[in-house]
Amino acid sequence: MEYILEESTHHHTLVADHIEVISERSDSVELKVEGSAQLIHGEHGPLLIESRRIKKFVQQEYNPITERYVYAFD
Amino acid sequence: MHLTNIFYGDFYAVNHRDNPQIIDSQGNLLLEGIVGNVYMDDYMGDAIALRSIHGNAYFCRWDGQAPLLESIFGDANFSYWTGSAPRLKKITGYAKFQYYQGKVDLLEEVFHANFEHWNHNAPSLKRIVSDANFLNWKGKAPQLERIGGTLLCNSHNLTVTHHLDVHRIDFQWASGAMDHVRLDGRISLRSIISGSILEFDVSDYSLQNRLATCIPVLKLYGEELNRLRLEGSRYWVQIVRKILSSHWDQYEKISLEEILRLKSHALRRICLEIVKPSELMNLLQAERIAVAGIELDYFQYTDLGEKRAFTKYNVYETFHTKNHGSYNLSEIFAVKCWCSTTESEHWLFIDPRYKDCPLSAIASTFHIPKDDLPLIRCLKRQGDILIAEMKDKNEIGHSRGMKTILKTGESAYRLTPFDPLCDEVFEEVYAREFVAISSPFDPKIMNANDPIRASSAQPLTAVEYFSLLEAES
Repeated sequence: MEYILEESTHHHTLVADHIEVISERSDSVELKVEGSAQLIHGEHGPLLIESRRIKKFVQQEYNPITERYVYAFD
Repeated sequence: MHLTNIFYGDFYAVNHRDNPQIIDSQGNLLLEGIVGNVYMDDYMGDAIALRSIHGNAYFCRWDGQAPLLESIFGDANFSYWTGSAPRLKKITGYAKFQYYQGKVDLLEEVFHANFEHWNHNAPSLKRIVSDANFLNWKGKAPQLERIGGTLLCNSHNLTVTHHLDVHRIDFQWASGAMDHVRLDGRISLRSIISGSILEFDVSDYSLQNRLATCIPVLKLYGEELNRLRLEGSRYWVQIVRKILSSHWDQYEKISLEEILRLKSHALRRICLEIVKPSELMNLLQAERIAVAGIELDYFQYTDLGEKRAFTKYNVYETFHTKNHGSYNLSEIFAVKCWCSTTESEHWLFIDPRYKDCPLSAIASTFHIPKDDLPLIRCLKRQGDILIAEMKDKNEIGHSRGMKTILKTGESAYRLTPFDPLCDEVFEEVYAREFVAISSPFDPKIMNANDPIRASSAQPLTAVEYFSLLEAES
């Protein structure tokens, strides 16, 4: 089963036997995964997911004009 | 407020003309409160005693006044209402004032506002909890502080003279009038394009002007129109794409110098969200402020899912801009790091507070609710996303140890995992910089002890980030 954690030029895609979305917020996604789980991406190397419950956060960048944080993108 | 004459149930004014307890001989409504929906549609006569409504208020085409009405705990549809509610302070639901002819000079808060084609000011309005539709609104809201949802507006009808917090703006078109608007969310360029097309039929000249501004900015996303993601219905996207494609090749991508000279504050900040910080920092001849390195015990994973332990040494640098030339810009700060996979350099703008500590600067680019931190087993970063692996119930209360080798200044480059100096410098650096700047008790950096802010995401401190970080790719 696949779940796209972040759309990008290359998607950050979670691959696991089973994936359940626990909650989705504007700044994070919480997921429950079962079986062997791996996070893959076309450019960055793979990451093994070793917990049953994970949260995803996106890197943020300070906008010098607005003096607020905005999401950084690849 | 103690009310005596209250009506319970849905109230249709036209059905009660013969009840002297409710409507007097002149047709005036005698009720002080109504608990239910109120329908004054097509009615003539004032609501002389009405103070509150616990339900939706339908005042469409009502020819009468509500001089004492203070609160509506529900939606308020005032479309085509000829009267006024001079004491109305609060509408907890949707305030639809489309073509409303009266005033609400004391109104302070609504949940959702639609002021389209309303001609009066909202002088006391401070908060709109959700969305605000100000298209073709002729009035002003000089006290407005907060719009919790999307603001839909023409530029000319919202001149903000103080700071206004808005979650998201959907422009018909943007201008310098928006200078004081602060955004929680993102401005959508796609929305700007949609706004332009909306007025396509009105003025071809106007469309040309907008496309001349939009297309050079949109090309920052990529030179090919096919790669531009457009939102909306399939029909709408087809129209937008068709018009864009017929003008796409006429305009060049906006240059960095042109961005820095843009008069529109709103457009300038949109562009600076898209351009790479490295380009800007190079143009402005950025100078390095500080360098810091840290040794980390990491894990690496193969495509086959094998896990290998290794020691990694990361270096981060902070920079600031020196030469602003003729640009109207204040000093800009950024942190430079290197991609774990490709080893190419990567820049991120940072809050000036972190300028002297590169480790805190890179940590601050990830925001996690403080409540979550004790529940995190480890962090794994892949490009611009961070995965927090959460503890099982039986692990809660256990925490990981802190990494022990870090170094600042030029020596950070020379540090190797076997450098005997590592341990010597650690004590000093840890005490002077790492702990001091990352201390949860330092209010300048974060308010971790503030219970209100604990549940909202805050920038991570260097200690929090590096003590939990287990893998990067």
